[in-house]
Amino acid sequence: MNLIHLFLVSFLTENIVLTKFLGICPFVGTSSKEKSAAGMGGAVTFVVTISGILTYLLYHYVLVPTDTVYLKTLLFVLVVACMVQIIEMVIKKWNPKLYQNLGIYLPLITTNCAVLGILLLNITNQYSFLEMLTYCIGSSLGFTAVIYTFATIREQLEKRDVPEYWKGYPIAFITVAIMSLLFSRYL
Amino acid sequence: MIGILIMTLIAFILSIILVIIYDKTIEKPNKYLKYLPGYNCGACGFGSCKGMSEAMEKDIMHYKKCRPLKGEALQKMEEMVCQQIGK
Repeated sequence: MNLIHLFLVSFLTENIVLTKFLGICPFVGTSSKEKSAAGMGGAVTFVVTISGILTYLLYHYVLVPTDTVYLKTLLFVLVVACMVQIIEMVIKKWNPKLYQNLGIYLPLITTNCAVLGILLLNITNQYSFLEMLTYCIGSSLGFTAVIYTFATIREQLEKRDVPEYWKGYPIAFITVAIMSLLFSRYL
Repeated sequence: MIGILIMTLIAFILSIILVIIYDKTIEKPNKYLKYLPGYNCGACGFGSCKGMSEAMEKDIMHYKKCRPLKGEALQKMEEMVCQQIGK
């Protein structure tokens, strides 16, 4: 029950993008097309889940026993960078078109603050292994769901009659603001 | 001191994993392609020299279907084919 609660909280009410405002750069950058948004979400989910497991094990079985907890930020960045390199090679091999669509945003997952944020929150909130896994999957699926929804909205917005000076990013940011209010239950 | 050791060790392990995956995912150039003339005439029936080289991986005797392959180039190809069969 606790795990389901944690999953729903991380997926909806404490969504990583809309309530913590992490990972805005890829959120706005790759949400112009549905397919690249879904690809980005999938890549982030993979990277977060695998590096979540790895960093949890490294933190609790290497850093804590040797009393080198101060290394955690450096080590987490290292693990994330490695995972991103792996997924970049795999996508380049199996889906070159998606690789072209994602472009610079794929290697930029390394510096996506949502990824590092989730990993550091795992440690700060002192989750157990199962809780950590639930939180990682919930948050990254939340990221995927929001970025995909936002991409579909943006595709529809391009067909609509929007005032000249609101076209493009301004109307997109207003949409994000409304979505954020909805997710944090102010509307 | 122990922090430096731990970081070095983990970075070393991660780099080994990366090298292994890079080696598996990178496309290796076909070894038969450099022996073909490179005209991409399609006379062999495989569309291009690349198609031909891929077909040669399955059955090496396909090289006989290449029409522009003559003279020294043909000799080199036959030497290479003999070596391959000899193996």
